[in-house]
Amino acid sequence: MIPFRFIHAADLHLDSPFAGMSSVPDRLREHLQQSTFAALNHLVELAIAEQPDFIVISGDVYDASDSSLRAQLRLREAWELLGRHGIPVYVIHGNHDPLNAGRLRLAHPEHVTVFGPAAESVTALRRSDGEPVAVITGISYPTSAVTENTSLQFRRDPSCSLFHIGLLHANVDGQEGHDAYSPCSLRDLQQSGYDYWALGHIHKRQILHEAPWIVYPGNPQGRSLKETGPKGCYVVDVNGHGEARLSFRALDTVRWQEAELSIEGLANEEQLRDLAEELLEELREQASGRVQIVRLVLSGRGPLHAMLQTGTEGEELIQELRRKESRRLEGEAPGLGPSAPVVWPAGLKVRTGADLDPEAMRQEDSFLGELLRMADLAEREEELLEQIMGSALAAVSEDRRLRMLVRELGTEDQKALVRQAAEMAVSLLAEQETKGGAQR
Amino acid sequence: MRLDKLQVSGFGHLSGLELEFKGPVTVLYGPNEAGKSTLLGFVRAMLFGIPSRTYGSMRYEPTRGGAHGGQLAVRGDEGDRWVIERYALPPEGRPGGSRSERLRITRTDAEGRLIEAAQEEMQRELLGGMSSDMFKQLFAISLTELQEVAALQSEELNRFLFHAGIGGGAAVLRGEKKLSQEMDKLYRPRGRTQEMARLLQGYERLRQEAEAAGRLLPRYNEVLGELERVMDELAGCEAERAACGRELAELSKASLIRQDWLVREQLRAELQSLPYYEAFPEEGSVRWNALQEEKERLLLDRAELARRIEALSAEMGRLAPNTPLLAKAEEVRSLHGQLAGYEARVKDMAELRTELRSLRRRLAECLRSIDASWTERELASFAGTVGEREAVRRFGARFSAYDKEMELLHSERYKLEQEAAAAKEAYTAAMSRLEESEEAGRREFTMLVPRHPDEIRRAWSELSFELDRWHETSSSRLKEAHAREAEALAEKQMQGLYRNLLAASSVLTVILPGAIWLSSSSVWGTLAAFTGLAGLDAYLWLGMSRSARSKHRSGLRRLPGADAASETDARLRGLLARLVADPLAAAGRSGEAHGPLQPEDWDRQERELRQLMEAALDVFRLAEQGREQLSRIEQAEARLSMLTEENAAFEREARAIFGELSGTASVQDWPGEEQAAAGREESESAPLSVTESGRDTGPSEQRIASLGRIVIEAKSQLAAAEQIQAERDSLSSKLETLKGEIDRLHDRLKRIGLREQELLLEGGAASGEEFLRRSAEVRRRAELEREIRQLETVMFSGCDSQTQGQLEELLSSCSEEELKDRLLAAEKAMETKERAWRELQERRGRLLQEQEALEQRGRQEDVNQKLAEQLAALRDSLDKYAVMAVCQELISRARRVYEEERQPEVLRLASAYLRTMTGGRYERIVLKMGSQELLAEHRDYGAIGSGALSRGTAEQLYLSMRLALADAVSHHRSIPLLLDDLLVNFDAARMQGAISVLKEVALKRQMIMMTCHAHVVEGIAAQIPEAQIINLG
Repeated sequence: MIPFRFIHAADLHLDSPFAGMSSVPDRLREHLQQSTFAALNHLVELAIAEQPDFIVISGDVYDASDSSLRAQLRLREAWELLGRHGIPVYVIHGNHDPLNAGRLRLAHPEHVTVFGPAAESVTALRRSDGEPVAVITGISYPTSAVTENTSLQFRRDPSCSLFHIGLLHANVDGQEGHDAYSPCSLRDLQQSGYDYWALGHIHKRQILHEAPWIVYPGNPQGRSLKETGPKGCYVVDVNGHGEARLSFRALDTVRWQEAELSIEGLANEEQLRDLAEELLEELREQASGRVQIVRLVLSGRGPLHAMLQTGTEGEELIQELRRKESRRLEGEAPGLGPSAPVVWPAGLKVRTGADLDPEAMRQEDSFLGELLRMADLAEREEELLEQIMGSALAAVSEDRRLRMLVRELGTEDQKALVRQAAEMAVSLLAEQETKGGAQR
Repeated sequence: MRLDKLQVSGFGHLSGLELEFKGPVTVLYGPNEAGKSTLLGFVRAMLFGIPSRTYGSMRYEPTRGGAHGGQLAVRGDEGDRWVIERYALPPEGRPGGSRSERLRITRTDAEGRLIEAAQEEMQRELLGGMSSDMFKQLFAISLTELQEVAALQSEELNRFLFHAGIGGGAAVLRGEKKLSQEMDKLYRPRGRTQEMARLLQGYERLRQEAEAAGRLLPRYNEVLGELERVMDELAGCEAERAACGRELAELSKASLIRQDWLVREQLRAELQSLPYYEAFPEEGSVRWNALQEEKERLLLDRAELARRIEALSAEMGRLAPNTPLLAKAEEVRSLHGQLAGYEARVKDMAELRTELRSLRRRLAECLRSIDASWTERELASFAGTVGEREAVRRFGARFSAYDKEMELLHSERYKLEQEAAAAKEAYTAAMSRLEESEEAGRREFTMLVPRHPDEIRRAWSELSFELDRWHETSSSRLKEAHAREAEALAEKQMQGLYRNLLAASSVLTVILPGAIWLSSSSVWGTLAAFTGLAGLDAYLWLGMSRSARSKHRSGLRRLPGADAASETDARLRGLLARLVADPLAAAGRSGEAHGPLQPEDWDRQERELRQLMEAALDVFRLAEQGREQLSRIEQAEARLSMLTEENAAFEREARAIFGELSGTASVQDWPGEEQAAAGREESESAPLSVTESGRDTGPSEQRIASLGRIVIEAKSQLAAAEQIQAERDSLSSKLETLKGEIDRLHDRLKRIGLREQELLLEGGAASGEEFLRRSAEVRRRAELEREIRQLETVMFSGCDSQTQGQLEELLSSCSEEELKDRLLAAEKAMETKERAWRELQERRGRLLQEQEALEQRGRQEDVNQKLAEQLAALRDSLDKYAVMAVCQELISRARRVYEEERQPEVLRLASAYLRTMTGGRYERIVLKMGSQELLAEHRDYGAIGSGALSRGTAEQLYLSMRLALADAVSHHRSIPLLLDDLLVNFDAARMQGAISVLKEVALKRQMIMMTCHAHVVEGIAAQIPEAQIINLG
């Protein structure tokens, strides 16, 4: 076997918007908007620097639903740049950019191989000497929803000794949080005889199996608070024995973080604010030039809970932190330079509890006790949960758009809502409770 | 618990009151202001504290003395005895306004132990932790509290009931209220101003924008496709357009050159019809014509020449030459040459004879003047005595010496005088003139001014030169005059001249420098001129005085130099006249300063002496003259004879020649031949006797004249003959020339003939006519060819052969009409194509522009991100809302549990109470879930809202509710009920019912009722005989 190198990336989602953020200053928005392209550029730069023999991209290069002309144009530019450097690209289309979706009319350049809706194989050559080094098999989504197990179409030619790479956009073993498109099992993949499964679709980076390698590189740029942490691609070196060595390379320019803050022991909002600022500074130090989007999660139980729960203090805290970062954005010349990168507080998640013993309250024969017991029951019984959600959000559901949003809420979201609601009820009623004295 | 005893120290207008409650029911009866309600307040105050001052009337400050407060003795359910002692502290000394009281709670248990207890403990133990409010609402009820329920009514009622009965009720109420407020802020169905509604609107707007942005890509693709198509079309169109353009160009070219082409075709046809001659001589006809012309001319010349030769020959025949005369031509000519000498001699001879005669006369006169007796002979013999002559000469010499000396002296004296006078006069004259100089100068200037200064200067120099010359001549003459005594006339002339000159010179002396000064403004020139002129003046003046003096010694003879002098004078005068316009006028004007100086006369003696001496000298001179005349007579005679000789020789020669020439004919021309000879002889003797010879000169003269005539005639004949001869000669020479010319013409004619033949041969023509015809044809052919060539150049310049061929074909195949039609069609087609092409170009431009714009827009588009942000904001809002909504839902569900599981017991109880109170008219109490309205169900009319009930019935309803709630709330404790005159609005039956209910309740708890109505007391007493009735009266 001939040693070679390739880059595996997936889910570029070019120009797809960042989800779950609001009130973004223009400058930051601009930066965010550019970030998927920046990741693409980083990928191209990486390719030029690492000189791989080819690049494989496992689907979802762009979001067809966004129908972004910019994405198409920038992609074309990137292809051209890679073409100028003679780096071939093998691409499949995924559920977000299926073959039937609109895209730029122009034909792909020669060095870009796009696989069709049925599995097909091409032989990749080593760039240095033109030696065939790998068989690449890929299959694209003809439409946005592929529900059959397309991995079964991948069959290794037993007579061929070349390294086999399979490009597949699929949800292996039905992972949560992603549509179960092209569902397949790990076993299917293991048994296919392929040496490297270059997967896409799941945005979380994960290596499901080694030798044969079954790899999700994750998306190269996180796009929401769900996609936290470093994002990038894998550079894969295959040695003479067909053994692959993977090294992760970060490509992201905006990194999403979730930072937890406990309110325990905090007496007032000033203390909370100081703590939050400290936290941001800490993150800033680790930024290494990237813009960070942070969601603060307030946790723990403390006297601040009620205030946070009912009042506007949480909102005010975020606003203040944002003001500071905005000043930083404005103060820093356009580059958002590495010296003091922005750590943008995208939101505040209040997961605090009242400074009460919840268990005791639950046992109490009181209105609150009754309420908490009911909330607990709702978390356990989906029927009740549905009922509660249904009647609580009935008014909202009158609006079509809101109805859709409500429908999007998963069970977990609903449970979380109930928990939050229970907490809110506690903070609303507890005060009176103490006064009213239905306790024993 | 149970109230045993109360001791009012001071509370309101009560003081020092002590009441003991016995039995389950106590009725406090008293008129108004007996303190019933105060007692209610007192019990509340004892249990929960005296209300602070802020509550005002509720505080019940004692008005009739006694410490504010009192004591309450209570017995607990377990039999403990509690004593609550509570006094309000006076405000002074306890600032702060907080509840300030003195409290003492003691508890005595069953074993008799006395324990101090805190307020909280007491409340918990005795009241089950009941709040003051709840106690007030449920257990210590006055009409006010009862009606509070009515005031809150309907939707609030339910909660009030909860508030009264369930822990956290108020908070629930508040919480629900707050939640719904918050939720309303976020969202209301069909609301437009709520946060979520705004977000939704924004979202929709952005989504539309995003859709528009989403259309960029398909549009871009469309543009790309369209662009491709347009490019294809454009390429096709361009090709068609080019073809069209070519066709149009061809057609327009064809129509443009059609006229030329037609002409060319005609020319070509004509050319075709012309015969073709190989190698026709170049310029044949011209050459032929030239030959013909020359030939003609030569023939004419020849005829002319022949005619002239004929004429010349005739002329020559007419002129006959005089040959014999010509042969003697030399002789005749020499005779003729000598004839002049001959005639001159004849004249000389005549003159000599006359002179001879005059000489002889003068000689005779001279002889007579010497002495009448003197003859020639005596004269010839007279020689004069030497002595006499010497004496005379000496005398003369002495005389002249004397003269010389005199003159020297004179001149010396004059010089000196004149110098002085001249100097003086010159000075004064100069001075005076100088003064006048301007005017005079200007006046004279008229004479001088016209002249150019240069001319003046030139004239002046000439003048001075002439003056010098004149001076020279006059001085030499003066010298002569000095020696010989100048003649008086000359002297006079001289003097006049001098005067004039001097006057003119003086004038000049003054004027000229002035003029020079004026004209040349050269001081030196002026000075030089002045001095020169002054010198001249002096000189002239001197000369004048000298001549004046010499006048006195005037002689009779004229001086030989006088002629020269007068000539010089004339020149001077002329010069002066040139210089001075009017010398005489000028001289006249110069005045008479220089008047003629008359010298005094010499004395007579001296004159006489001189006369004498002169007479002697005359004699000598006459003798001399006589002798001289004699010698001259001799000379003349000799000469006369010589001349006669020569004439005779001439005559002979002439006669000989003429004799030969004319023979007999000319003999008679010589009639006086002999006479001539005779005359000659006669004249030879003439010197001897002058008087005789003078007589026979007549015949000789006649002869001489005829001889001359003959000679002259011969000479003229000879001239005529010679002329004829010369004419003949010239004619013959002319004839020769003409003959030569004729020969030459012949040669040339021959040559021309040859060349004609050559030309004919070369042109292949038999005759001149044919040659000319051919030549014309050839020329026409050349012309045609040239024209055709020109036309073709005009038509096809810049076309390649293919195009030319096409054009030719087109022109030959189409008529003019067709061509025009086709051209029009092609133009139209071209226009169409052009328009289509332009349109395509424009479309391409537009598409390219749109492509660029789309790319530009696509690159700037951020609506998707905004949309996502909006969505996020919406989600956040929804989240918030959902939490609240769920919270509300939870609360409402919890409340429903309370309502469904617990409330029914209360309601059941309350319904029973109400039924009893109303005597079964109202069967039960219903709480409507939705509106949470309290309803009383009438036996006949069904549910009636509490608001619609009569006052009494409503109070009965509320009372029932309270009693029931009191049961529910107090759980297992028996908390006493204090009812302050609640039954006043009840009718008798209802009151009975109410009392029976109260009786029932009183089984479970102590009841203290206050009333001011006797019937109430009676009613109670009737139904509850064991009731303790305390009259507060």
